[in-house]
Amino acid sequence: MSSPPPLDFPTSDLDAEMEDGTAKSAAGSGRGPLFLPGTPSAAGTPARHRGSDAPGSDVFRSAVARRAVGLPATPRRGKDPLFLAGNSSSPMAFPSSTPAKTPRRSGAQMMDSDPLDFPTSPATVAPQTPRHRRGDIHPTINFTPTSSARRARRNTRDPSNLNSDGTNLDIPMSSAAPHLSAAPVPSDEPDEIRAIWGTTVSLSDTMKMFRDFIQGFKPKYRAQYDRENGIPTKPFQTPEDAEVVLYEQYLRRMRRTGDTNLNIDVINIMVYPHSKKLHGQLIKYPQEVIPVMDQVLKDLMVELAELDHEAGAEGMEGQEGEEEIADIISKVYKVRPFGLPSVNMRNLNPTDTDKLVCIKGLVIRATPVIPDMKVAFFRCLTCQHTVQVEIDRGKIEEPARCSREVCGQVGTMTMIHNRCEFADRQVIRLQETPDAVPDGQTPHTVSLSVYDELVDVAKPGDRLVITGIFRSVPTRVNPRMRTMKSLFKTYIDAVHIKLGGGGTLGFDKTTRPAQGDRAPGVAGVGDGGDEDEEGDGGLSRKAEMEKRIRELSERDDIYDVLSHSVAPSIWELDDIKKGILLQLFGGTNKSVARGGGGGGPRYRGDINVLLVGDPGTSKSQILQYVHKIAPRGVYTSGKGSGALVLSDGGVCCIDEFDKMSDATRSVLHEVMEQQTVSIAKAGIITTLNARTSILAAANPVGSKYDVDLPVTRNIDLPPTLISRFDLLYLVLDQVDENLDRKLAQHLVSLYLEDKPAVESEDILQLPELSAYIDYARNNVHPIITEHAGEELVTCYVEMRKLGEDSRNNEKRITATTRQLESMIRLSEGHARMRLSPLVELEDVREAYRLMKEAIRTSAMDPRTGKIDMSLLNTGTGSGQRKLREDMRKAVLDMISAGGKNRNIKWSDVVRQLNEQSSVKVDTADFNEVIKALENEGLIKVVGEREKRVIRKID
Amino acid sequence: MVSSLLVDALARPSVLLQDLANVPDDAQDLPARVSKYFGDIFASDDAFNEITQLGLETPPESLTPRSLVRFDAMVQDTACSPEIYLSKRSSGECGGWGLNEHDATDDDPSPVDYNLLRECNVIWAVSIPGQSPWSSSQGDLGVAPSTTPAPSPLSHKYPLPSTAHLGVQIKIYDSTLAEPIRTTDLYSFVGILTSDPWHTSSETVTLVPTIHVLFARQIASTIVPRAFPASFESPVREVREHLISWVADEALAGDKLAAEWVLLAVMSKVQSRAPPILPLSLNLTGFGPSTASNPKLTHVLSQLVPMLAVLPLSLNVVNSTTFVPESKDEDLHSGWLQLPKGSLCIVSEVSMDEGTVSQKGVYNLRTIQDTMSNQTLDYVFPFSQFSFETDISFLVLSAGKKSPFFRTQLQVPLRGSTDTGLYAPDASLIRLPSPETLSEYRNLIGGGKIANITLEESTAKFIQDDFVKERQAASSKNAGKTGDVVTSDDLIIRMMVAKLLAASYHRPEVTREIWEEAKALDERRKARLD
Repeated sequence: MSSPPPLDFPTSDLDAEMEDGTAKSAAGSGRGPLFLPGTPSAAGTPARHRGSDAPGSDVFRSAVARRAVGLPATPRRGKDPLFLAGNSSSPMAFPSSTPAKTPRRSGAQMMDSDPLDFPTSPATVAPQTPRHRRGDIHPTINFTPTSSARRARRNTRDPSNLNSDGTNLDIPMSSAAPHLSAAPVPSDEPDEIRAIWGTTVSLSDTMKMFRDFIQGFKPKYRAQYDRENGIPTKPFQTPEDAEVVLYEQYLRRMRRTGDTNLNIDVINIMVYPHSKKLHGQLIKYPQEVIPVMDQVLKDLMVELAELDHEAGAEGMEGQEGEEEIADIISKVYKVRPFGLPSVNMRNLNPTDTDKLVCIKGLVIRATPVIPDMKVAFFRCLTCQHTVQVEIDRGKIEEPARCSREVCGQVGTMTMIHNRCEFADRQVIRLQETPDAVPDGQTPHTVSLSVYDELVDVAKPGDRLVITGIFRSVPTRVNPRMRTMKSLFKTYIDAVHIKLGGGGTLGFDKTTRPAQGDRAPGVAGVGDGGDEDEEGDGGLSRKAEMEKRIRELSERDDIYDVLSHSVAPSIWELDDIKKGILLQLFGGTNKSVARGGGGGGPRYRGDINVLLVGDPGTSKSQILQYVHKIAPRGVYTSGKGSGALVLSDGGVCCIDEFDKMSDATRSVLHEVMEQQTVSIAKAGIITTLNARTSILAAANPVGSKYDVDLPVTRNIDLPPTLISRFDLLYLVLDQVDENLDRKLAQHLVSLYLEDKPAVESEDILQLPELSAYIDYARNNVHPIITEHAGEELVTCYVEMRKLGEDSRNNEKRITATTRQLESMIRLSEGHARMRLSPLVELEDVREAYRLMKEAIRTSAMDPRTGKIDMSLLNTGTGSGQRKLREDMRKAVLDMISAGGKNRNIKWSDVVRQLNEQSSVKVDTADFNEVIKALENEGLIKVVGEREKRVIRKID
Repeated sequence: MVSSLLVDALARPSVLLQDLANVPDDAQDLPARVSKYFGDIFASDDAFNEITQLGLETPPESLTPRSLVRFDAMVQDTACSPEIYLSKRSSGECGGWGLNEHDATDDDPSPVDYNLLRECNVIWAVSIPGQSPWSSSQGDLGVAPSTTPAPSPLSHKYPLPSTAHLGVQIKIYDSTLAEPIRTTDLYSFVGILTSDPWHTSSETVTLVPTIHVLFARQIASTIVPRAFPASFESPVREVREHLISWVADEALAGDKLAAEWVLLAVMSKVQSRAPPILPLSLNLTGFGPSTASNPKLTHVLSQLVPMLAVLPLSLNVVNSTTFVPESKDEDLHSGWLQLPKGSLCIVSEVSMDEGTVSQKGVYNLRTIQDTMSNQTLDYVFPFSQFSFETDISFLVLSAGKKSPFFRTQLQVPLRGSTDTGLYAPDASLIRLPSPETLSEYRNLIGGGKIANITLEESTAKFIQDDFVKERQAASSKNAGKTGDVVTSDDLIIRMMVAKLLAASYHRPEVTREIWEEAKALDERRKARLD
């Protein structure tokens, strides 16, 4: 007997059994037929240990254990009293049935499974498939601690999954895939046996390393590694935090929560000095190493439980502890490694077969849960004898006759469905994410098989980071032909799934239930909060990007660089680009903690921008561009309020804003002030969050912008809506010799060569700019300094003063608190752009400048040449009000002058007014004046259209 | 020696392939050696033309399996999963190219050495959509293409519905060859013809014609090689003049101005993406409605351009056919607009009736507009869209005064001078010039399409001054109002027109005269708009 690994299997009786069986089977090596599935002994063993009252699982565990040991059932049977006592089927059947079945069965296998499938081992008849409960792992070795000598050796490269599962996804029933262990190897070759086939990797070393790792890994190792690689880490709160034995904690937590999955970051394995080698082994030979880890994990779970039991730890005293331990023993524990650097799925190649890989992708299709029959349960109709048959190479061998010799009837065995055992499986098609697809290429797709706890974790549309084992399996070239080995299909057996695979469009955590939020370690512990951030090897890349962004932000001209990078193909319009840039960064959302019902009022941080201007002034191009870089950017034209919900937390670009329906407009009112969208459907009103900034473009009422009219007259939008925009820009096509020349130069230069060189100007490319903005939005939340606050006040007062005119007492409103709020948001956006944690003087000054520039063009009343904010707020400027007042007087005068004749023709009034006035009388203004007079009861309008007559009322 | 090799390669490509595989060469991977070996054998055009060409007249079914064929095709789908094959059997025979797949090694007990597994790229290729018969070497045979749609097994993968075509699965073993292949690329694939299953997600496995590629050649966007500037028998101005007259007389009721604009539009192409200098889209208006016949212009232009797709918009077509390639069940279905770069697409609105355009129809119309203005086409994949660059010149034919659906950069109302109709039921009514003249016409257009036109510094300066002057003049005339001022858009269009004009004269440079002519041409066009 070779030296057993230094592990102590806790369940003593089983232990004894195994020792025993080991010895026996060694003697009986070569008797492969005995291990065939369908052997009722193993499955039928109730083996209740330590009072566990979960017979099913217990039975199973026992079965697994036995099989794993490769124990022939027959010899062991006699030694185990429990076995006899609890056996549901007649013990009489065993001695005869098993051998009797063997030849028949193997013959049958020869016929219905492809011969190519057979193992490469000397054994011609397949021995019992080692039943491993994990669908994702196809263990090629049987492993239990005390039986290393009996560990079977087999060809690890047997791609024997041939079965189509009918899911149309071309994935074999891998979970049940035939994994044939080789015939037992004589125990006088201990070294070879203990190694992973074809390598010098010693399994006992592997076990020891993993045991060391679990028992010895401390966060400090990781912290050191992260430091050395420039990965930002959270500092430890106390020195003790760095010294805790992390995974022992996890193990205890698993015991408390009943979890059976342990997620392990492979980086942790790598950085722990004693398990460094294990990292490489795990990646190269996951099929062998993961089961070993599973076993060690279970051993340690039991050990730890017994330790705690002895120590009388809380919840582990006395009977309770006993039960707990029994429970642990009955469970199957799974190690789920993750944290490999992800590779592009098109770079996976056949040489990666059976290795641990990590890829990212988008779920495009998922089959329903496929119940995978693991163990079939048969009962003889005549004598009620029952037999369990395990799946073998994807097939269940139905017993042709009752195995009980006394009965021995042919064709009486029927399957009892609800006593069969099933496992969950699902096939997922994973498509490359758009950001991973090389330019101009179509996306590739791979199949993914997920099992047990991982089933139904991912839904179509999710982005995943998958750690799994890459498989290549033969397929038929042609359905008519039997050839199998010349063509292969590849897929991945997932061992770990993480939702939200980076990119700009990571899945929205708010769309999943609270506990699903910690989805990275789907079912299981191990990648707890602090380390699940970016466990996919993107750490260094992320750090690199952050470094670059920080460096960029140090530049003095960062503001110019960034604003020039916004829609670089568009000529000039610098201030507009700057305004949009600050919009992209956004202000901070604030809520007043106290006061008012639920936490006081919220102040939006979103900046809204409206572009108004002549057609053909590249407004749409700007919008299109912003839509591309903005986080969750949505582009819509005119209609559609659904877009607003979609862009929650992003920028909604609305082209042809003026063409919007009234209903949508009212929705926009709500969005822009309340940040919500209310949707009424089926009598229920739902309010959805729509914390979105709006970038809108509108065309003037006529085809051209009339510079002689104020903005409100040029756009067909209610002033209430216009006033909700922080910045309103006019994009006009004005004739100016200098500008024209520059423009012509710019344009003509583009056409000088046939393929114009890309401008060498210092600008950021789109993805870079996008990353910068994203980083700033997520990491920088500037606070207004006292200085800046004072400056804000000063600027506001200054802006208000613009309306004062010392020459007369006329008061025009040039700024309201709305403008103050806008200024605050813009200052915050500017500070964010600098990645500054504080809003400083320069931020406020730039915000003030931008506001002033925008107001200067948009809020100027062209008739008075003065800035009047009320023009935007109410649609009527003070100049206009004065004008109407004058007109009213004139109209009244005119009517009074008529004397007895109280009727005056409408057209006459207009004509006369025009004669009196230096400016042409605006019809709209005139209508308003008449309407007001009518309301006052001073006049009455009779007649229609041209025949209208204004009648004085006394 | 060489000729015997050529004969061997033509007759027994599999044997040559096997022989090549048996000569070990560690320096190079077998697929790369195969590409070079066969590429060299067929390096000369004469040798290349010896290869049997797949086409509607010589469909795959008419050929014996494993014969050497050539297929001039457009790549339709590159999203197929690659295939993994065993590059060397245990018996030592080479794998791939469909070789040795059928031998009885069922009992082969040896394990698979994963290091011998190789990847083979699978793509779907179809006959070049809208290829004019004259430009295909098969067209020379004078066989009229059959009008019945070929029973291509996967007709949803061809852009033009119910049009006869071939669809072939292409297996490429040489990764350096496969790497640069993109959808809508044009290639001559040369390889061994077999019939292999097409792997889709559906239960049923269909056998499709398959070419195991030995080597491939890219096809130029002009299909027939062209030169710029080209040499002509008679002065180029004359050729150009005759060409315009012919188009005007045969297709546009004698409207030479419209014919000249058509000529410029069909020669325009994508010159640059950043900044975007894209082909000019042209809208010919005033065609008058027609339900039955096609505009004669389509017949005439098919004689002139190598690839012409006619998109006959009707309510039915708009509402129920697909315009954009879409991946359904992991099979990329084609759409009207999946056309090779360098194609001309005639969007004919003349048979549009009154009725309702469905949501899908609106989406389809919008797609045309987007492709026209951005020269990109968004393929639809589940949960994502992928944008692909296109280079399609668009010509919109409208019945009325303007197109109800599309905004084109240029609009020319038709002013016919003769009363010959604009429509003809088939091409037989078109009077063709002599083959030599026709060839000159094609040469002029083909050359113009690949033209590389430059602008001299002094001309550039002149153009700038001209622009500023014009704007000044216009603004003073309108007293501050921005009415009919020349805009930057106008300048851009004029620049492009000038370049196209130079190309149509086969002159490599825009001169001051050409600039003035371009301006005049644009003025005449605008005059018709008022």
